[in-house]
Amino acid sequence: MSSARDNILRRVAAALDGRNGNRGTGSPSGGHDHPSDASPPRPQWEGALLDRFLDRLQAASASWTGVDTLDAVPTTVVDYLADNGLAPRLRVAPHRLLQNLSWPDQLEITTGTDPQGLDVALSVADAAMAETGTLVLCSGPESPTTLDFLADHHLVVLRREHILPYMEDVWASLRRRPDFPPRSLNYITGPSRTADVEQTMQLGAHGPRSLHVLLIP
Amino acid sequence: MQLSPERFRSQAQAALRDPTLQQALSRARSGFIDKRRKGIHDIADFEALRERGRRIRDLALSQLDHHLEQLESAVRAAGGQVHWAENDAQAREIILGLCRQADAQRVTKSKSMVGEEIAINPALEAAGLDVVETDLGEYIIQLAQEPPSHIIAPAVHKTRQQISELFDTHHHQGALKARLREIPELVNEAREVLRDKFLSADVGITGANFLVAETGSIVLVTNEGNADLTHTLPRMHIAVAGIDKVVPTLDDATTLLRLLGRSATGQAMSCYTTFVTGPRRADDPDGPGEFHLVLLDNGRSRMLAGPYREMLRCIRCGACMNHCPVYSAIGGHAYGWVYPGPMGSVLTPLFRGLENTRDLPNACTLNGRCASVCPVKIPLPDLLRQLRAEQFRRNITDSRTRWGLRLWGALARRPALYALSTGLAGRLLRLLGGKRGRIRRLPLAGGWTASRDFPAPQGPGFRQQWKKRQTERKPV
Repeated sequence: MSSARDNILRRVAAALDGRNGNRGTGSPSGGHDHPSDASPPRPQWEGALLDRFLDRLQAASASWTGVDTLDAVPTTVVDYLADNGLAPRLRVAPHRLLQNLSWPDQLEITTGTDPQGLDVALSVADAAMAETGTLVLCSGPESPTTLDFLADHHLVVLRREHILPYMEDVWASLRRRPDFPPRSLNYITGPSRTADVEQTMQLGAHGPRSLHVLLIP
Repeated sequence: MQLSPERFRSQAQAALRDPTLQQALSRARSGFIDKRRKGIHDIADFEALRERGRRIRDLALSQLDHHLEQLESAVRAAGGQVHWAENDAQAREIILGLCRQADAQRVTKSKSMVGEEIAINPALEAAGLDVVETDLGEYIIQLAQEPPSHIIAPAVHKTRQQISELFDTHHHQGALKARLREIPELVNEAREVLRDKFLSADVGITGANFLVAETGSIVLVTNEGNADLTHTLPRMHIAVAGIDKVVPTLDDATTLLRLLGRSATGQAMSCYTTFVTGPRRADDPDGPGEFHLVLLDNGRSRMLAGPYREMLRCIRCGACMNHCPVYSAIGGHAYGWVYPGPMGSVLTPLFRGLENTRDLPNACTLNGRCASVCPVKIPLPDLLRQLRAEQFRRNITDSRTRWGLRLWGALARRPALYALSTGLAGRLLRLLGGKRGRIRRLPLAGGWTASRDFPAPQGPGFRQQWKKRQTERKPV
């Protein structure tokens, strides 16, 4: 289809060169020729970053528990499952942070991406943003995207220091990684929902019905 | 009967007479407007954000060829393939070819307006593929065998009763006797039915809300999570997008995302915003083995060259139709093609030809609400007026309107004659109005008076009042 490609690009170039002043004056490297104001118009808030994040997280119908240490994650998960009447079964992402946890015997732990038995999944967020109460999860060997979307209930471990103010800050942080961008970079804001029946919001459309954050220091 | 932009008038009339549709539209009307109003609250200077959005889109378009080439190399560098389609037929051929190459039987689809534009579903179905729409709204209208009536809420015209009936027919073979069901029950049932389709799909087709040139990423925004299951589970992911969708950087996409959610549904951020870059990596535990991006021109490069370039800024949020009094009276199907409402009344004539869509630019009261809410400040009423002028120039306007415009033009150029005739007309109308001051029937304006009275003019006319005012103001 190289001819279609050439035809389209030729027409686009002709359209841009044809009219006086049509072509932008920005740098051809595709860099930041755009609006020069240093800070784009975006939500502002007073108070702590963490408070803003948790406030927006809950506004998006997600919930959270503060966990004192990483080692306390298993008991917090067991409590969460019991409190919500869920079977003691957990799919754990192959993330280095979760590899050395000691899980209680009564909890059935599975790994892998098999959709069978994927009721509750536990994964680790790469970042979060306070602007909108959003979790950021990058696909990769330690983080299968399947878990984040096929599970009925999604539990996410988040390090407090990974909470950033804005999406621009998330980009600045992730760009430093050698494997950036991942195949699938997911900004997740609350559980799955739809308003396609009579514009009435209903949680649990195709993705998780609930989203719970385990906040660790 | 197949919907067509040529039959706008009869389709609009049918819509006005359809009580179920009117019921569904009246629910949607206030909902969308309220949500946006509340949603833009948290940004102190939303106008500045709109201006920034406009500039980002303008700058992206002003170097479109460069950004497209950059996008192409970035997609390739990430292991994906880029295909170029000059028109809808080429795009269908490419996608069908890829599905055959993947030996596909089942294709899941995540809502895509470009997919509708190129009519991909019928083409794939004709080739024997099982095509399943996965956005709940799109799934509902796929069952009903109807096109979408709104670009972000495709089943907005359907009531819960109608959806209950559709699910009964397709999921229960009528066993539920079309019983009205609760929303959670309906959503859950669709979730279960579609989960099996997701897991057994060979190819997943998505659109793209944006394309990011610097990283070769496509941006997918949903609330349901259906786009993510569509691109993650099958063996092959095909994304199809217009060439206008490209923005230079991730930060540019960020600004536009702030505008998109708030303008569409009042959300600061939709539940799932995903940046997809290429296929599964060597050590990834999941994801498709192949990623293909199909870039569609289909008239966009022509738009770029002409006087309607501003329309290419559109980010498909639907705010213009949500705030349009004409759309909210007749719904999306009346417009007869993929894109309804104000943006559709500009786009459809440009895609399908002004001569085949003569009523669309005229189905507008020029009230300007669409332009005032557009997140990228597209001057929609100006573009519609421009299309009307072009219709007149190209002799597409019907003869009655042409004569009317000529007559008015002749009068307007002769002030004395204008004063005389409007004075006479005013007096005549007052006479016709009688004591009630209302006119029941008016020659040449039967369409207007069929459903309401015409108010007779009151008091002296504008010119008389102006003259009086000027004399009074004069220094003694």
